[in-house]
Amino acid sequence: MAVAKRSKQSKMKKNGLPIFVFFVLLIPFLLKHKSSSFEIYPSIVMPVGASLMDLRDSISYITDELYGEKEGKVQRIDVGLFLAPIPRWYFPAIIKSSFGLEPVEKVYSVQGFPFSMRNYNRFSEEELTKAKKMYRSRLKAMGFNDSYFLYRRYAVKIEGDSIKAKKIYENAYCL
Amino acid sequence: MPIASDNIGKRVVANAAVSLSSPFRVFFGLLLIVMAKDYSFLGELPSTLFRPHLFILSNLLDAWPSAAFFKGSFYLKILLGLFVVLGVHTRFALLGVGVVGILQNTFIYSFGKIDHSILFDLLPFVLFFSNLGSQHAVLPDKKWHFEKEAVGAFAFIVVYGFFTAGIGKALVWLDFDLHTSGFLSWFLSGYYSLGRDELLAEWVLKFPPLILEIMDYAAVFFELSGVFFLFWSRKMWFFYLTLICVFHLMNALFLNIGFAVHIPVVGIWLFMPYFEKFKWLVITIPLFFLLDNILFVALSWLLMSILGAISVKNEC
Repeated sequence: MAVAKRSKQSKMKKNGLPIFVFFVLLIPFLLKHKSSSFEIYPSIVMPVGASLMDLRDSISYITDELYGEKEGKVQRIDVGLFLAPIPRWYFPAIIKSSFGLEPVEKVYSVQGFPFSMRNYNRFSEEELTKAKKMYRSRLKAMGFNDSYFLYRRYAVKIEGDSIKAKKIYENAYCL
Repeated sequence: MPIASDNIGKRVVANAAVSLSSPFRVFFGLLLIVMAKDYSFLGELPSTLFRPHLFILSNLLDAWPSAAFFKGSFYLKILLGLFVVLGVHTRFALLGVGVVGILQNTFIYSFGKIDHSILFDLLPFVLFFSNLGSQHAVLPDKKWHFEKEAVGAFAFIVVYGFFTAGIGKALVWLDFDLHTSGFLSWFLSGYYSLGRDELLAEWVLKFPPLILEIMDYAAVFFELSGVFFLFWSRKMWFFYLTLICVFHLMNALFLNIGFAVHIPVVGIWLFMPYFEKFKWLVITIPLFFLLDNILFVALSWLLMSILGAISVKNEC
């Protein structure tokens, strides 16, 4: 029995470093699991995307779109072209920052600790003017009225061959 | 042959060992040049769009750095890539490329979304420990004896990376309920919102619930199991590398997510035998990266899957 115990201890000793490394690597993963704002870069964490969809009656999902006024009608704006050269996949993050047109802030505090952390966009009147100017020139270049654009969120339902979209949120950003 | 050792580290190093030589250096240097990105547009953006996460270096700043900074880092990366190709102090060129790459990413991720190219970002640091610049180099490096250990550590990082992706999915996707689907949830957001509707994407909408459920379990199994394949044997490690290629091929075909940055990651193990025999591949593979098209990425993953299958056979 003593021999078996010694062999187990020796195995632990040999593998101490990899086991320690494993637990150190777990820290960024656990932080990201708590909140995406806690994600560390650089750290060894890969995309999870663990949402689940109910298929019982119909398939439904949420989609975000931009609209503007062109030739007197409200028309959909091609988000990829509108944001370029900002990659298209940062669109959800840009929505969360209110397109940089409003101050946005999320404060994180840990119970029992006397400090808090802020996740915020760097907002100032001067930079707001710069943001508005940027969007105006982009809308103009795409042939849209450059005084405003609309951000809309739709709940889309697919039943058989029919696709129904219901607007669940809209915000007009005046430039 | 499984390697009988109760020392995890030694076992991983032996199973993942590969001898990297100058053709891989030329390939990787060319890839760095081809993939160098000019982010100078960030310097023109208003800081109201600058919202980095809490634990990222850029959070210490109050605005995007200047366009000149990004232009400079772009040209520096090309220059260092050229140094890697020619073998001019390769080790330090690789270190420089790694640091510049991480700095650039720190800022492009400051919209408030961190992308997950970390395996590729770490590659220059892994190659720093190799002897890529010791032969056929203009200013050769001294030989070091850390290559096997560095490649082994990287193999562990690869499987750990996939593990972090799988564990979150396992908690939600393994629900034994045919009326729910995680795969479809991922698919639809890309299909309708991001225009990922090319190649075989349309087929997904016709998949029966059983296939969708199997895809959920297959993804979780694949992402969690890498560590066992790596510990098991060298042959099984190469089998897992083939699974990585097939997984990315499926993602490219159905989800239109290419993840081309993982090609050189897997390439450390799969390319070497071919680079020695067919030197022209060293130049042609990086050229594929210029064709920013999901069809070419899917074709690349198909070829990688074939290379993987051959390497498994060769390890028998």
